[in-house]
Amino acid sequence: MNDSDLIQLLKKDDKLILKKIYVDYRSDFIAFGRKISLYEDDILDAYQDAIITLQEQVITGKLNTLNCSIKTYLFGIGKYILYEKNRKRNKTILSAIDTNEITMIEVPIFSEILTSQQKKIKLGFKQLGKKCIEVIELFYYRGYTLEEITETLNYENKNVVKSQKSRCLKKLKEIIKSLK
Amino acid sequence: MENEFERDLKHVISLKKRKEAKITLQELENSISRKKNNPKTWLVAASVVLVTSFLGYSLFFNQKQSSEELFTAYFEPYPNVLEPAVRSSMEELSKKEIYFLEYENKNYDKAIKGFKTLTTKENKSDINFYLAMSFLNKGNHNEALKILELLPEKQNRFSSQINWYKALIYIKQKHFKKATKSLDKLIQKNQKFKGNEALQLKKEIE
Repeated sequence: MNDSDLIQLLKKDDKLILKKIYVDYRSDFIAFGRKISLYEDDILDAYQDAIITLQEQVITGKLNTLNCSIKTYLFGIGKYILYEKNRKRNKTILSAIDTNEITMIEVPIFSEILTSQQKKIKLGFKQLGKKCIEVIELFYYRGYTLEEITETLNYENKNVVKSQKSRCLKKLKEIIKSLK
Repeated sequence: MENEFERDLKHVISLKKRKEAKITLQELENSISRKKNNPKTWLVAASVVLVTSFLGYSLFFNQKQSSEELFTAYFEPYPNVLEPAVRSSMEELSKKEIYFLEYENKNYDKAIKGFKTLTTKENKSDINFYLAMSFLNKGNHNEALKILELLPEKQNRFSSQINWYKALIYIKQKHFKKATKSLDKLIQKNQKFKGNEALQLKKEIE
């Protein structure tokens, strides 16, 4: 299985492939991370976040092809995340020269802080039925068109999906309103 | 144009997906670390992790899986796409929506009882497909197969799904020729539903 096959499987939100990538490069990343950080927990955390970021970029269509290997790309993201972690800890990089072969790839560091409106959306979203969650996730997270959703979820036609989506959004807004 | 509500919704979903993926990787990391801390059981644990974690990816490990393992690796219940219930109270739901809700909630006995009362000339093959799925999900493979084998494949919106689930049951019953035939039909149609998995599964049983 080559890197482009792996990307196709990542695109499908495949949990098994996420695990396979994790196991394949884990030891190498730990050795690489030790050149940058003293903290084992930071290294593992950065590695996990790098894999998640890679999958997110593929799923959301921000990354379709790679100019380098998956491993190099992954380590580039991991390197950036570790630098950021060091910066927060006010630590200097241990031996930056040793990691020069990997170009740092800057990615947005995900903030878990939610606005009050986002907190309400989070609560409301949990209360939606499975079908609503499925349609909304495909449309807003994976960027599927109505036609693609029709085909993926085997709906009758795109109009059914369109009205299902608007019914679900309406319901979500009603739930949020009731939370106020 | 995306409005602020939609942007927030997108952000919330991304965060949810990240958390789910993080939990998956943390659990995997815990199992690897436990394994390393307990060298005596390392080899046994390693083989268990490899086989169970990557079931379905045996090509990586060059080993054949049993028919039971293949079924477990590839089987997942088919979702309710016919009658999604979005209304909030049970009183507002039609009988059909209630039976499909029972299906969604894994109350397969209730769903089977309900689906049997619903079939009309027009919806017969759709409802019977879900009847078969209910039997399959509760582990009654023979009954599910009986229904699936009677369902017409032409002019049927679930024809790919019928072939997929028939193939899985055939594999479980070690009828590999029949399974290959069903997978071939699915592959030939070149449909998005389980197309890649069908190719992969075919390789595994060849």
